[in-house]
Amino acid sequence: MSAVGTGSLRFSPHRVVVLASHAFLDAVRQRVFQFTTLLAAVLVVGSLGLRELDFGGAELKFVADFGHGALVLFGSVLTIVTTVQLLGGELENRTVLPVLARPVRRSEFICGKFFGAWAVVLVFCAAVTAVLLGALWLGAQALPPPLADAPQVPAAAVPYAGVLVGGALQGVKFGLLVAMVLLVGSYARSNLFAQATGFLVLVICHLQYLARDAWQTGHGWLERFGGGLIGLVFPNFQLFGGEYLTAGTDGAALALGGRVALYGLAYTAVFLALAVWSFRRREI
Amino acid sequence: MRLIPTGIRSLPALTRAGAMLGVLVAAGLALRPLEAPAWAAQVRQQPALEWRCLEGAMGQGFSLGLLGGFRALAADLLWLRANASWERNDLSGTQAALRLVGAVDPRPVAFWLNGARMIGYDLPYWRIEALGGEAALPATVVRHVHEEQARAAIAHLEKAFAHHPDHPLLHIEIANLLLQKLDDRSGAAERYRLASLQPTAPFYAARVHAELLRQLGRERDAYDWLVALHPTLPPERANPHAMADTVLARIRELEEKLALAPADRYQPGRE
Repeated sequence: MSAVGTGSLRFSPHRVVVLASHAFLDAVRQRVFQFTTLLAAVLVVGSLGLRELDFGGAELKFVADFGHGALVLFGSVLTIVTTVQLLGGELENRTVLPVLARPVRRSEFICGKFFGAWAVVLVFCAAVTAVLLGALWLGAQALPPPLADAPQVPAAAVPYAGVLVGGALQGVKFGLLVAMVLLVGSYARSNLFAQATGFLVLVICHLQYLARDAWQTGHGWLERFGGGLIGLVFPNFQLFGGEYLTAGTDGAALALGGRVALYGLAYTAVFLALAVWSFRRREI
Repeated sequence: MRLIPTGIRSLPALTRAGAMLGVLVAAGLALRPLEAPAWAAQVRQQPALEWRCLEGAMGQGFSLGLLGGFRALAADLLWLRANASWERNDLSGTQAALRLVGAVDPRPVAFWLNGARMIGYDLPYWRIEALGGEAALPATVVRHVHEEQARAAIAHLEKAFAHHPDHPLLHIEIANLLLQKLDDRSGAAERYRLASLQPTAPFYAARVHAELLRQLGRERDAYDWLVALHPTLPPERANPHAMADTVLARIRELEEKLALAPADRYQPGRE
């Protein structure tokens, strides 16, 4: 528990901002941020040269898919590693003690870590999305004009707006992942455990729809109960990377995007609240 | 946080874990109305990975790539695997790889089209060769193998409609299989008609439909079809792919064959 009694201390957004900015600066100095951002950007640009490897889709579609893949993969790694380092590092090195010895609530500490880690991941998302948009623009310049061998030739439209929507939704998803990893970190006794569990949670969330299927169509009560429990406890990460969101930016697609963002933010609030609750009860 | 009873702090860790689980289940139920419509829209446009099809068929690298979002790249690599099996005339390997490609990324139409061509046009020859060769087999057996593979190829293409409803190239590919492998002109004509109704169908789909009607002895239907088609085509000078002049020439041929009176004949530009 804190050396200073914080029972009468009111929750201060200002202290959260200070803690978040410190966490953000701490995280951007880490090599994992620089390494993943650089690697993702190089992969996105490199996908322009890998178009020869694409056999099924349009060239720009391949670049967009590849860039999105780089964003998802390296963003996930960055989110888990950064969050664990920000919280677990302080716990392992005992540097959390001088912080909590000041008039700082544990909820402020966790919220500060959350916003700091999320800000880092949002910077990553913005950078990779910007590089992807640039790569798509470059690729579009090199495309030959389409052959009009049909009454309506499907336009090789560059999905700029879709890429932006996709990048924003990945940012929301990573925020949710930060909150989930903070919940794990709030009771984990080692960084290794927190990281391993974080990646396990990531895989479960990506495959959550299988649990939902088992819930609805499973054989036997055990499969249905287990599927239902997993399907309700874990959010569905597949929702955030759907092609239905990035293929078009008409009203319906944007409304669905908004619905998915709301879903992610609501889950984030729940996981963050649980992380705060769990951390308040932790012996440090 | 104050909403959570303070007394729970003294309860064992298991109770706390249970409470967390309860909160998450309640959140899952509350957020279900947000999730369900979005998931339904997702499955309609981009089907979920069919993990049951992929189970055990791929290495950890592929699984990681798929979870990481490199679905298109994973499908491309599997397509390479399908082609490598195809070059070795490996029947089961080719079929398995084609199934995997469809399960990993059903979005590119080219995978479905080329996969169906392998199944319908190449695999029958491998099977016949494995049975002893065409010369050693009765003609009925050879024909049976060709027809069986053609039906398998059509079934493969039919699966693609779930992801590409009414895609004209899928209809055309089925039509070609019906025509060349199953000698079903009537079915092929219908498929070309369905293809030509799609706005992105190539111009030739409508012309081939009329030609198949003519071959079936339905000259009047072919004539009516071409007369309806011609005004919708751009002039030959504007778009040679549309072949408006060729369509007009075929209309004239059919008018001769049908012995239409000059007053009943088609006049371009006159509705």
